[in-house]
Amino acid sequence: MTMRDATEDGRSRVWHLSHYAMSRRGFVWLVSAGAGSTAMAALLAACGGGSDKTPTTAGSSSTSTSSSSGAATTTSAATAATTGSAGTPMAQGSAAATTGTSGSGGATTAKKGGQVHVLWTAPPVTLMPIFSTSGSEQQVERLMFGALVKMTDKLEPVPDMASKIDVSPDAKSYTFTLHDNVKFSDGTPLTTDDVRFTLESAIDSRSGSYWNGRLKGIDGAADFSTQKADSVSGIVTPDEKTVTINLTTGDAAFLVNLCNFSGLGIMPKHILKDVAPDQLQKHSFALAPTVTAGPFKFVKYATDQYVELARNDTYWGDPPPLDSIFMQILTPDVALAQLEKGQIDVMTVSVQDLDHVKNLPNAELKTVPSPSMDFLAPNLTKDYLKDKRIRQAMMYAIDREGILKQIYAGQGEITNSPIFGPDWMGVPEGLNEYKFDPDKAKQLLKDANWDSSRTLDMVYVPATKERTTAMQIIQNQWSDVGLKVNIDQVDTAEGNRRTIQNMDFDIRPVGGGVFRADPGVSGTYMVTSTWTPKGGNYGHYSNPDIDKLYPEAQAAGKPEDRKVLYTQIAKILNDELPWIFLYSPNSSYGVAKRLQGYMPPSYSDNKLWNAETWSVTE
Amino acid sequence: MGRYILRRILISIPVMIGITIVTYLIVNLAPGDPVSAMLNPEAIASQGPDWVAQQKANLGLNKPLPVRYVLWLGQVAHGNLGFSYNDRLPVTSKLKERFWPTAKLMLTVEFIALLVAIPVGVISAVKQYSLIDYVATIFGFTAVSIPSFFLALAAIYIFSVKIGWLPAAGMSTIGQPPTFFDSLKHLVLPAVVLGLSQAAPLIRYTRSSMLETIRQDYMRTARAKGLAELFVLYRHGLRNAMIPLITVVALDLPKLLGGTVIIEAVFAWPGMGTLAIESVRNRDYPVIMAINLLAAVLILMSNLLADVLYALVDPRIKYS
Repeated sequence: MTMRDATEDGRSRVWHLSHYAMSRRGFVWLVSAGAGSTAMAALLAACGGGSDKTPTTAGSSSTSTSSSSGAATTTSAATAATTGSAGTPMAQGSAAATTGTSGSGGATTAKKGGQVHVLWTAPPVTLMPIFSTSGSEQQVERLMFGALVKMTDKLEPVPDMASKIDVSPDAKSYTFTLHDNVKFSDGTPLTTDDVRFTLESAIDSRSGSYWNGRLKGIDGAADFSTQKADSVSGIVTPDEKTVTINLTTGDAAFLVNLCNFSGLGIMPKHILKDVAPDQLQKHSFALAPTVTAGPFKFVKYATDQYVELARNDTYWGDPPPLDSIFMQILTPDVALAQLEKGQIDVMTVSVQDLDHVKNLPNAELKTVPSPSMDFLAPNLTKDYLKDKRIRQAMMYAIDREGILKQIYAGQGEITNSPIFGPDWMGVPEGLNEYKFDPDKAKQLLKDANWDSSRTLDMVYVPATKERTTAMQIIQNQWSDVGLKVNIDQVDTAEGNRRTIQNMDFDIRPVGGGVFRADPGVSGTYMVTSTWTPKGGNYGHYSNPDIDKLYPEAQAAGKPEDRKVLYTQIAKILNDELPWIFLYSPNSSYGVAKRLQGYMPPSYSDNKLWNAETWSVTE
Repeated sequence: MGRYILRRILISIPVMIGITIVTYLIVNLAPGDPVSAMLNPEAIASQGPDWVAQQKANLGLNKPLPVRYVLWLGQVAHGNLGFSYNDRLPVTSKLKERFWPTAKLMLTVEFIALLVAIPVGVISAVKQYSLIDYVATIFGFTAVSIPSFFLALAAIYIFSVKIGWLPAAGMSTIGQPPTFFDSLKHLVLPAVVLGLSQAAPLIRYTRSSMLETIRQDYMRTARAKGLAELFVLYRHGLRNAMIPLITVVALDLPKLLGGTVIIEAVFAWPGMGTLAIESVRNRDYPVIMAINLLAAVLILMSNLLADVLYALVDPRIKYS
């Protein structure tokens, strides 16, 4: 898949593959790194009849053939992988050597130098990886700091500064081996001490990092978080290049979690070690991270205008072709004008501007499916919303296909459960599709004795124009079947107070999440232990079967086994409707034609995931 | 005069304290709080009640409102405006960073507005019902009726996208060393767009005030003395017509501080307006309060300035 996109881009440099697949010995990412070269090939250790996928490989190795015949290289590399990893992860050396040697040189026509301007949505609140809660900041941090794992355009976690990642068969233990020569921009080597420092700062409750919750599955995290222990016992660093993370219970989605949206940047211990945890967020480093180990380094933040990044000369991998990247803060209208003038190279495009961008001579429109979903969360603590027939009526009463077609220009797909990806999972079969049927909705409401004089209270935080219009259509369509709803527009702070903290609402429209990345993601919204404010279970849905099935599916190692369990989950949720599932709108990007190597990510705040390989033609 | 100014400044201290009490109360009564603004639906799985409690404690929000107010006032008295709840930067440095860009834009805007409004206003009063008067009137009503963001976008489309004379946004060309000419080029579009929409009401004020003055007896006397017409108009006419104009301009000054959020956003101008909106959205109390404080000081100061200017323009006005 990665291969195909790469050829479409006209580039012969495909540089990795990632894959969920499981062997009896556990799944392994093999990444080869030739001496000083970054021709990475993440190969699949396929044992048994695990996978139906063709492993592709990367590497400028494909330059030995022409760009169109990458498949040949793929085959040979795959063979190498199979032989190399048939046994233990140790055997990877051979595979590494094979691709590594042919990989150096990278004889692509990429021109050295140049600037790229990327539209950024809002000024950064912080640029310290453990404190950023928005993907738009995290993508820049991953590029500056470098991470253990990063997320690809297809939402798969792949190694970044780690040369390989070994996962135990029970998914309880993850071992990362760092690349040679990983150095901070001040020349200090980056060691597993820095990894421990980053993770522990995030876990320490005094720092106030929200990663505290994300990493609570690590052994000993709870004790360290509350200062009962001096270090996290589940983080083991036998030497400077190896770090093992042990979890209390198996979690096959741990890597997805660890590269939340983009990847958790590794912070320099030697700069920050003397800062008290509760002072970290206030430290001047937060908006001027001058010592980092990623492919690009921080140059300057011009308040409310842009962040400037420049190539990091101490980067361990191939030096990035670009001289600098500017993350610019502009309104979408002005950004569109700048794209037309060639002053913006990459931007997210909203539905209303799709046609305009399509017709620009100097830019291309790229559209891909997104991992997020729009849905309505009914408050299930209200007696009148407890009958599932009411919720089913709500589903039948909405013409989701029509909304998608009219409002979203057909860019998106209808969802009937929170499980619709990634590729190994797909959309579960046998779900009720809830095709638009107002009569059926009326009948269901009648059966459930719906009191048609009741007006529901929808607490809506206006987001995109499209979503606002969609909510008005839903309001109309519901009223057609006798469901009255009042849309109460509030801002984020008030919306969160009423919904997350006080349960003072009937319906809350939500859009977002990374559901497509892993079916386990929806667990944090569906199980009883994640009722707000502890998690994302907005409506306080509770079903003992669901509570049991999610952990089971998460601990099950093999994708086939997980798929069976998640299909079961999807069927229950599709019938009981803890949420009114709507659709997953696509992500669209306007990309300047001069920019080479850009691969549109499905998660729009992950645009920079491969920026280290971008180049420009002029 | 000196005593008068001093007395006015002393009186404004209790007024300021009153303003801070009222604004502090209103800001805190606004629904939602800083921590609920921080909750991120996509990260919420990790932001449990412990996290919320920890954040509240870190920000000192667990203390009762009156205590928080007194603590805040004490800080301010020592010249410390506190730290932003949002990014934990000192509020003073946040304000400082944005004050200069705003001042630069706003002083240019006011200058352009006056440069256009006074001559046009005077001419359309003197030549009442002439072609110039009608053109000025139509221009005035058009500029007042068209929202400034529309003017801004239209200007960007024409001058930046189509003709390509001027940059569309920002304060300087990104990735190049700053030069005076470059920053001037960036200033033109936002300053002219805002300046023209500021000028429109000022033209009307100048015109009507001038119309009133030129009918006064002393104007006829001046002409009878044989003074040159221009001298009569500017020395005797405009000077007297200035008094209502000073009031309007003085009231405009503090408005300029935060009244241009939209223009700032459209032109990516890193000023106070953007900061004000951001801080309200995040319930960033220390920043909101600091901006309020600054606005209050500016209003009191510009009122004082107006009073002093009255005396300078019209010697009949004396303060003691």
